[in-house]
Amino acid sequence: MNKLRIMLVDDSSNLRHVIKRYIASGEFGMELIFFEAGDGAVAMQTIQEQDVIGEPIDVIFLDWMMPRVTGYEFLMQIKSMEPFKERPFIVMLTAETYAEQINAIQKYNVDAYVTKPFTQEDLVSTLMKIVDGKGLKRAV
Amino acid sequence: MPFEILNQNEYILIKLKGECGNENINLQEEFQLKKAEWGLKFCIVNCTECSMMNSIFMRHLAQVYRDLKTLNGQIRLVGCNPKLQDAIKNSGLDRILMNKMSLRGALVDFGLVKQKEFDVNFINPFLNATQKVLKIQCFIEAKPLKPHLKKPTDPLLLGDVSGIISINSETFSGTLAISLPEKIFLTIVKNMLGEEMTAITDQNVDLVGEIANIILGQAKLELIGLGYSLQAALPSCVWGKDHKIKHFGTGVCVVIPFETPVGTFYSEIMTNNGLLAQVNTNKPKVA
Repeated sequence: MNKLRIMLVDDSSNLRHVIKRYIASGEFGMELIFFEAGDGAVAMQTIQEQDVIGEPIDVIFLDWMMPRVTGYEFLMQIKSMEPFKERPFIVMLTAETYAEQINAIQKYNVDAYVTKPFTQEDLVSTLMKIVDGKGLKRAV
Repeated sequence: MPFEILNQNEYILIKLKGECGNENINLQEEFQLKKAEWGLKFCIVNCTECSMMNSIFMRHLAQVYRDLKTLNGQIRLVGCNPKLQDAIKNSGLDRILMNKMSLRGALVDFGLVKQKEFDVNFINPFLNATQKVLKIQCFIEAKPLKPHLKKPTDPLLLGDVSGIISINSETFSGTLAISLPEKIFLTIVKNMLGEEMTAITDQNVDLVGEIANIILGQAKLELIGLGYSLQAALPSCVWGKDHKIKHFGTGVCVVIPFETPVGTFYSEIMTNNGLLAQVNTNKPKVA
């Protein structure tokens, strides 16, 4: 079975648990492998490590508001790095959708965003669209 | 035309669209005609849909400022994007063409909105957001009860665990706290995490801060529609019996109780500036 590597970046370990639980309930026809990070710095390290060992992260669920490296700063950082310009695909998680977020979403080609509060269906259908739309089943 | 001039009864609204100044316009003359016809001395320039304006257009707005000044009137720009704000600053007109984050902020500057008129508007978005977030994210139906002002004799905190978040805007600064009894919190933990837990711990406590953060995000959406603009900080969580809510405000604290199938919890909004002091506690609006 093909593998889908998903990274959850949120400062709340409990919210990461909720997101993981919701996503894991979906039927993607792929083996889901989860990675977690409490902030952007840890996430970046894991993404680079996974890339080096040839098992790159496919999709990141990224919280907007985090301490230290915020979701926005992380987004700017990763999109400026050549190997990661197109992939991993990014789903922003935000409690707000305002001009700053929308500008960033457009500017950095964020693949999708989910507004909190979210349902299980919101997360599964968002990921499903990425898996289908970006041809992840074939590519992995 | 990149602009439209509208009569809003108490002020003149100039709505801008796209890039302003590339066409041959005569904003100042058109404004003078409308101002004379309507007899108004305040002007709001809505810049939310304006991507940029050139120096010629800025000079037209500066002329509008001078016109209004002769009548003791004022002009405010609302919703300028950062690039536009920089352009105005670089042209040296930022003290004349002052930008406000919200329509409400501009109306307060003009003295057209009194503080007591905000009260119910401010409470209801939090009330609606709390209900929505509890339902969608925590699977709990919460019914708001009559809000009341916290008395000095009330306990410092009404729940066992609280998520607290500071709020700042042009017309409000204070804190939002969601304070939950242990039983409700553990029900939320079970509903969200799918795990039964028997106590509030260091491991699960951050959920209450997340909930406060999501509630504030939802409330902001509704508040923006009402002309408010809010900035929020990262939430903090406190817990333990009789713990103190670290409200940053020194003003009035409005308590909104919510009834759920597993008990009552409390949402508290404390203000630094007494904004909520005159809230009408007899008529809570339930969405």
